[in-house]
Amino acid sequence: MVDSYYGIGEGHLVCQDYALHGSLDDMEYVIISDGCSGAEHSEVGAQILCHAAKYHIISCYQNDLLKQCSSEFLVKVLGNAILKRVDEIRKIYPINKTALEATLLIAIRIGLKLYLFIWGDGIIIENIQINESRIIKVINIDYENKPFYLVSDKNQYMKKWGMRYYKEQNLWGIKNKNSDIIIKDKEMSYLLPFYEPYIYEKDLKENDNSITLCSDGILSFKDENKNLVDLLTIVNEFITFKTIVNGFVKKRMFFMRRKIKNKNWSYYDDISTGTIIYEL
Amino acid sequence: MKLMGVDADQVAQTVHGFDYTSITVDKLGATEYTFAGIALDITTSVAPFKSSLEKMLEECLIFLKRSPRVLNLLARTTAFNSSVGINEFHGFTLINSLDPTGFKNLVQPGGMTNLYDATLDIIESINDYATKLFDDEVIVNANGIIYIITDGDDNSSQYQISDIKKAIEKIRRAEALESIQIILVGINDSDPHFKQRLEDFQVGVGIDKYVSMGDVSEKKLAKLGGLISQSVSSTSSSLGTGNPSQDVNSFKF
Repeated sequence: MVDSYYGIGEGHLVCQDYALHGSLDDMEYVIISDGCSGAEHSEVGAQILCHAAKYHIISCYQNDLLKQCSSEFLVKVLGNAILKRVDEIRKIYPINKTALEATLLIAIRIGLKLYLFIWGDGIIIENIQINESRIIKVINIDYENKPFYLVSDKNQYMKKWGMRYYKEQNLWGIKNKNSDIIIKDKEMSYLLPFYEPYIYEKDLKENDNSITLCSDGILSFKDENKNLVDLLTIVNEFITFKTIVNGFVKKRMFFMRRKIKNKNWSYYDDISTGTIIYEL
Repeated sequence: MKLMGVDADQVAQTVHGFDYTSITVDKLGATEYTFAGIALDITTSVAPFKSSLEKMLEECLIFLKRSPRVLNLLARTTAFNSSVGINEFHGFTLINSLDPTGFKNLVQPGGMTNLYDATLDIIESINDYATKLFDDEVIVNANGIIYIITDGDDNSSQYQISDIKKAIEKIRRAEALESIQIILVGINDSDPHFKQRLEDFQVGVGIDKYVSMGDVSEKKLAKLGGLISQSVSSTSSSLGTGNPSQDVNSFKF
């Protein structure tokens, strides 16, 4: 089962996030994008990127590339194909190339294989069921300044900034069946090269429950005292689906928005998110 | 259990112990629904026009299937008399999946009028089902419309007007339903005494509208089927506005 959602943040006038999802035979995918707030028409760029990515994911799947190639090869093939297509589309509009300054987060599940390809910043949430408890792994890909987008030119970046790194923060939480909160278990951070997309590949096991992608809007939640809400608390809200039916992500977001409104919480940034529930 | 060709996958019970059936949640693809409930009097006195009543339900369903909101309509139809109690013609199901010809020979007149019990049953079942779907995050918005169609005053109920009044107050406060409209339709209600009893019932429980059909005819029942379908469809279109449909105000016979 797969679903996605995008919506405007309370501090924005235009929603610059976008999300879509789909399935084909034994493949399910989620694609989300967060347009750069400083780039004009990046809301259009985010949408073009998602649809171009969808087109090439399906094309790669139908040509068996997704099953036969390594993820390192795939990220290059997909990245180049998407980039070429979005550049052609934005010229037709026409809009400036900076409109394509948007993150691109892709999750693809084919049978028992999961691939993640991520350009720019965002959050990955893995949900693993062990008996009555859940282990939640949160990966926060965090750039100090402007993220390195698919459209970003590596040479120009290197010339301007030299060698840079981004932070990959890993959080693990445990949630017991009868508890509403995730208890933080451990946290680790890594520094990775600034100009490389994030790649993740996994053979899914019986305990694997779901994968969720989020834009950095999930980091913008503040409580009634204007303090940032702990990431694991918000993650818990995002992934605690009461019923897995069509539109389950959209419905969860609807009820989460109601709940946080009642608690006088706020979020200023746009949100895009999508979840694949494996049903293994 | 199969009712009118539809699998009733789930059985539930309201707070006053009325059973109702519904389809499973995985069949509900939309985020918002209009809940339509019809409770039909099938006491002995409707025997002369039983096929016209079946035809009315059939016509109503045919029209509803053409509604642009058909994928957002969930309906439950019951029939009542003291012999059968409250009989579900079909539990909560998508209009789309119902066969209009399925009402044929379902109206089996007999017994006395358990109007209050049937009214309480249809109101409570809608509230109960909508609340469950809302609490389980299956739906995010809903409204409702209920038709109680009778040709007789209550003479065989377990529950009282005060029980229905409380149920209506409860359903109006329910978070799950944006609005709810309850319409009482009087058939063969030309007799002033009977008409007054229905008016008292309407006022006593807080029913939104009492539609008097006067002496029954096939033509009038066909018209009623059309009006019901029109108002259900329009109620669904008004979902999200917070207001009930205005169509029922134009009901004239």
